[in-house]
Amino acid sequence: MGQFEKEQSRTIGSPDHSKQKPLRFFSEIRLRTPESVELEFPLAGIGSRAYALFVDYLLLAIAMIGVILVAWLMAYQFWAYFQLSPTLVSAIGNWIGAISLFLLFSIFVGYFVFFETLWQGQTPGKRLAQIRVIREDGRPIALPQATLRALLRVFDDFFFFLVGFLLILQGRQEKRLGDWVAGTVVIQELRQKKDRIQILDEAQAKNVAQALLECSTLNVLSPDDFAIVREYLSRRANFSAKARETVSLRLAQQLKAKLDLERLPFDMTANLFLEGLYVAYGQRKSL
Amino acid sequence: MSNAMNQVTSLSQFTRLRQPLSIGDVVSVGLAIAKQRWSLFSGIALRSIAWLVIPLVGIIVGSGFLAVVANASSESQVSNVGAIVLLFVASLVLSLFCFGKYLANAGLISRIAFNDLSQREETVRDASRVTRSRTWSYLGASFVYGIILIAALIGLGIVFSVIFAIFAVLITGITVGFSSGNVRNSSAMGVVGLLSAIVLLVLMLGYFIGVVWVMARFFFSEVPLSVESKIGAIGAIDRSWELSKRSGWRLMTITTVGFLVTLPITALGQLIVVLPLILLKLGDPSATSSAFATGLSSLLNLVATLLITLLTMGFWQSVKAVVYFDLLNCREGQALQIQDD
Repeated sequence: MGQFEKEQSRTIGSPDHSKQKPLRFFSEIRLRTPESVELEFPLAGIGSRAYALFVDYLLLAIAMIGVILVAWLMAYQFWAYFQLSPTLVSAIGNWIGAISLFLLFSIFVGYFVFFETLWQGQTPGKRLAQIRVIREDGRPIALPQATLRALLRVFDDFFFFLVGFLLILQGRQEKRLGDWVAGTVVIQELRQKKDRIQILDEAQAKNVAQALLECSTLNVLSPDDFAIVREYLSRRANFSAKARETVSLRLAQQLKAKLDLERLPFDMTANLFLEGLYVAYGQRKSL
Repeated sequence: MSNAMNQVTSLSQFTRLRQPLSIGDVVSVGLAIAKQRWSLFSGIALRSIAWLVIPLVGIIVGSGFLAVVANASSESQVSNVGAIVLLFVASLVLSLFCFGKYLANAGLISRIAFNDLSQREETVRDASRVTRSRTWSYLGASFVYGIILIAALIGLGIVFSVIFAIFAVLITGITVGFSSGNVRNSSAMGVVGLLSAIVLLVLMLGYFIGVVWVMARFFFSEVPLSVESKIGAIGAIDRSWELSKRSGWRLMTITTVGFLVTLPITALGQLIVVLPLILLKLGDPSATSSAFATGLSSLLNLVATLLITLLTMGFWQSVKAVVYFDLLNCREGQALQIQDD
């Protein structure tokens, strides 16, 4: 029954919502440096920013609890040591309360100012989330920007982050109030991806590469195709065994068809074929 | 020219999507889909929630009706019992069906989001036909999930209780040893008390994290049901468990970050509950304990929950779709394809 309905729907057709303009999953920002060079950066995105904030607030909470404990302990020791009268104690207690309140606020602001200045726009949370604050002209931020951002955080985080959330959600450049005032944007840290490509059997792979270069120029393959091979080789360790088999076979067959190879030079596994192709590409480039 | 530019950017969008996504990007991409599909998803979410409201209203009206009937005809007790049982069974089946409909509509959002991610073209009508035909599977899957969750709650509860019991026995032994040795009793006891409190706290935290970990492993379990063909309720649960191996912590973080992103909306929703109650209390300080206040607060709670669900469903279902898409990609290389020229 389900089958029949499916057939029918294809012929009838219906207003198509999915054919609207293609969705954008990531946002970028174009910046102009003082030297008038245009740079494009991927914006951090609200998820990464929330992740960073979560980590930072967790660390801050731990630090603040520590401060409160220490302040409380010190007050108690002070009282016990000097054997003060209760009226005096309550007066001192107020002082200690005020001081620790001030201390807490300083920690809150200082945490962000300290790290964002020291690490050029990053906090521990931002490091983990791989994002960074930069100036609108692409330069790293310094003390003034970090301070403005940290102070205005009080407004941005008001009522469960409502203000900052709405501003980031609505704006094209995903700026919260602190970013507007300080003239900063938060971008994704360009990752230096370490390729961990493991060739299982180097000698064999070189043989295959040699054979492939003899029977084909590999010119029909685009850089994108090699990028996929490379990506497969670097990521296959994470795959399940079954997936490794199906993906390598699929890629090998697709590439073999594209290369117009009627037959392989000799029998080999799909994985070896892909390794050989990768090695061959490297050799071809060096020619 | 601008068209060509668009082509280029949309290509790079999918190139980025092909890479394993970071925790933050999973949430960001989910939000991006939900934002751009706002009107479509809200409509589906509204339908979904309507299916939740129907049995609720039905139960309230039905029980009121029953009460009236029972009052009117108190002599024929026996036939009343039969009628009540029948009505109960009927309303149970109806409620289950409505709940299934709620799940199926939520699943539809995930299917559309997944289609967007995998560049699969399908009309909304076709998509909804597929998810509608799987209504009972959604129900079955949530039933199986419920059983697993209960089992986890009980199982982990037993494990942590046993650990605490062992600790308690040990600490009692040590304390007894101390008190007989007469070594500065009171401070030793204080240390023991503090230690016990800390251990209890850690164990409770461990229990909580354990349960959340299990929940996170099944967080996206309706997506395979929405997306794959020929996968049953149990198959979907199986698939989630299989795919989320080694990703438990990552999924926990994703749900936490997702929760943080929806926090402003959740908080605003809660304001609906809190604000009238505060006003009520200001107007009449003794009113908060009245039946009226209790009724009002539960009604407001319901409204707030439904409103929050309505506003966040598109986001959560999209995030689930992104999680599934990303896991398929990371674990099985789904997106690794050689493009034909």
